[in-house]
Amino acid sequence: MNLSNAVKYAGAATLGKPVLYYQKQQNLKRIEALAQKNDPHLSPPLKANARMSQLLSEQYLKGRFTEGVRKVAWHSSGAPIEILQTLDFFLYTPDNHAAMCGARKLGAQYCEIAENKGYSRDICSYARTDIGSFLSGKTPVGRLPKPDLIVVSNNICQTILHWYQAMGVYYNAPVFVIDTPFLYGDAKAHDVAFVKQQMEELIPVAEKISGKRFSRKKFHEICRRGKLCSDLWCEVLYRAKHKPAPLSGFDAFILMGPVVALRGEVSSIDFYHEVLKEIDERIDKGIGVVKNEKYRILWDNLPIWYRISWFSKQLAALGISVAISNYTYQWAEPAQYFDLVRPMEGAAKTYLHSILNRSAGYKLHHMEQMVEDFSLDGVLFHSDRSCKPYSLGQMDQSRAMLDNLGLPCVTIESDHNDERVFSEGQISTRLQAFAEMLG
Amino acid sequence: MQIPSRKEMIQNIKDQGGKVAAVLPYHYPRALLRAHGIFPVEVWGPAYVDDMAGTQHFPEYTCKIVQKGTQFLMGPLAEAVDCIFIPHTCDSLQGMASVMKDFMPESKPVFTLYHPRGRRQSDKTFLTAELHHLSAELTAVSGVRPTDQDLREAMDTEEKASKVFSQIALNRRDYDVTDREFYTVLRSREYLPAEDFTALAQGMPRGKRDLIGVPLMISGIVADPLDLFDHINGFGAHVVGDDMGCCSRRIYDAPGNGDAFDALAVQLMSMPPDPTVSSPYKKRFDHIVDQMKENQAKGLLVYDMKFCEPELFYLPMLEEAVLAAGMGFLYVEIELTPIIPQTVLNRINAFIEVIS
Repeated sequence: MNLSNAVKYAGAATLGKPVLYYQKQQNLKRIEALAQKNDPHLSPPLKANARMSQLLSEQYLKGRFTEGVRKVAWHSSGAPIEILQTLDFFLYTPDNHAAMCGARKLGAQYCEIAENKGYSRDICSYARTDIGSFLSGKTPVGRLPKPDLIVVSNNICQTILHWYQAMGVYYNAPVFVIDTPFLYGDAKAHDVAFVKQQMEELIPVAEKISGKRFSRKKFHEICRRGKLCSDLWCEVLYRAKHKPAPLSGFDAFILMGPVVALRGEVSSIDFYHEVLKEIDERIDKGIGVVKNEKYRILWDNLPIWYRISWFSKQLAALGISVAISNYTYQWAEPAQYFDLVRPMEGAAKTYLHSILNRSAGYKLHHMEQMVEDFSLDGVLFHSDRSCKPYSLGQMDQSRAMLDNLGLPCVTIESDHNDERVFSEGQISTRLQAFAEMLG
Repeated sequence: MQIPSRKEMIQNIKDQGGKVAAVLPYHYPRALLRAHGIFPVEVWGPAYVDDMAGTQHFPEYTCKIVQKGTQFLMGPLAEAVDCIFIPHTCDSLQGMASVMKDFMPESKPVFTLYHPRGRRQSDKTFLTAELHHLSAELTAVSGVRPTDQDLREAMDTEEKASKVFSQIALNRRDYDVTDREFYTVLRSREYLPAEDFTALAQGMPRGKRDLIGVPLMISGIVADPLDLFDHINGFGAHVVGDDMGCCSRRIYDAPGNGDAFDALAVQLMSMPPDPTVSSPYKKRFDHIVDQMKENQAKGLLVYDMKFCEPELFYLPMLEEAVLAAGMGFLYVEIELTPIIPQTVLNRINAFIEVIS
């Protein structure tokens, strides 16, 4: 163990707390100031945003000093982190980092760095953001922990395999793939067996790198907490069934950080309990996120990270509340497959059934169910140049929504992280036309 | 050389009571289809069809193999084939299969196969099970339940053609034909039955050809239209080998003994390093550089489909590896147009001048 870093790591974990607490207080003050401004269309943000920021900042702060103290595993957002948590790896999620860079409007800047190195503008902007961050050494979190192991699952796309393999080359780290066959229909027995077998194969690889023995008992407990965390997240999202919706899909895009990256941690479970409490207070007081909620819609696909606030304001001004997004639901729905009696098989099913690993027809069925459950009036399809698994199928889904349910739909073309693709005038016009269709 | 067209071949097969599967790119179990009495006719666009039907289902940032392939399947091939087979090659073909299955009821039955990305025992076990599952599904179209023996016989026939295919693909220098003729024969494997391809390929004239200019290797998904080769020759270069999805990436090991499904799975996983199965970067770069050295290529022309993410991710490091080995590198992107854009040709021309 590196003693100097061990001291710094411990310091970050303890001495950093007051700093992060101060940061949280400042964020709360900002939220309070927004409340005082009394926006005519939008209620102030949830206070939970400040706590969320504190949680993730703490993780990034510790990450600066992990080298020589804890083994670091980088993992994709759909990877079985429960195995890594059991072996006490420090976890880092490049997908989350890329999204954070996008939200801070750094996406295009980092993408350009990757493009100057030869990466095409036609590849995923998350990948370009992270590669650009590596190549330049730039990151809004100060310093990223170097990976001892990279675990990637293609249950969200095939692109991620290429992206993570590139990171493996750059960081000279081993890459372990959890290959999840795409589900055109129901999962077949050999699909589940395959994913389960790979998870079992990951254990000795991860044991060797971590220098620790895998405890099935601990794994069971982490799976239990992971399921609890996902179930709580599901409850948070379901609260938007209430009219007016007390939280929006945009809130959920921000609040999903812990369930993606820190699922199974006690702090994440506590966090979602706090979120529920705050949302329930809003419901009791009849507070909706959009003050004059006239229409409720579904957001399909990833968010446009660098324009979350813009969309939130634009739509609120039109009386439109984004009650739910199937993207955020991705970390809630598969929780039903967690099996606490047979946790490894349950985990295999959970990761296999990610919505992005399922057919266009299933996604439509899923959205139609949401329309009913959340009393929705329309669907906004984000045609995302950087996400083919989500975007291919939208044209047919949109037609089917209209044919099957008579539901107005709008499609906007953009990109989740690359702001150079965003056309404000064009999208603004479409949103206004959409509001007229809803009316 | 007289080579029947796809249309003629489909008619021949139908006349003989066979069934036809339209197959999208590009790793698939030919022998299993054959054991079911189904003959593959591959669909790589093609360049000469429009993309009208494709644009009604897929956004503009989808590759033209999907866009034009959809048009081809719903138009000229709609009545001619008995089923459609879409291997899981990438996110775009995944989306195409999914949309055709779920939203295009007018299409012929669509079958899929998931090709595992690793090369572990668990991958082999999975692929074997996947092939068994596919075989059971194909029975609905073929009416046949092939035994292990039936499959083994089909594998033997396909293996003869595969051997000839790899022999030719790896020994360009031994054939006295133009590059266009060479790749016309090689690519006829995309739709000729194994016996016909074997006879055609074995009849290709052997000997030393007149070499034009600098030796070049090409990489990418598909070299369409074939005019590309005339242009390359015209600019003062000749092709000595390839790393194309439609050609040399489909050189497989001979199948082993034992259970036929097991052997077919192992064979299907034995292709050279390939971006569509996420082969490790270094392994792929080493393979390409070795091929270039062996064939004394002076440069690598990556002639690639726009929006093809599996290809695009490898490019920056592939360029570094090729340049580090002292050879030239050029990447151009195409959109499967019937005529290669002049801007693309100008870049190829300039590249050939630079490495000459």
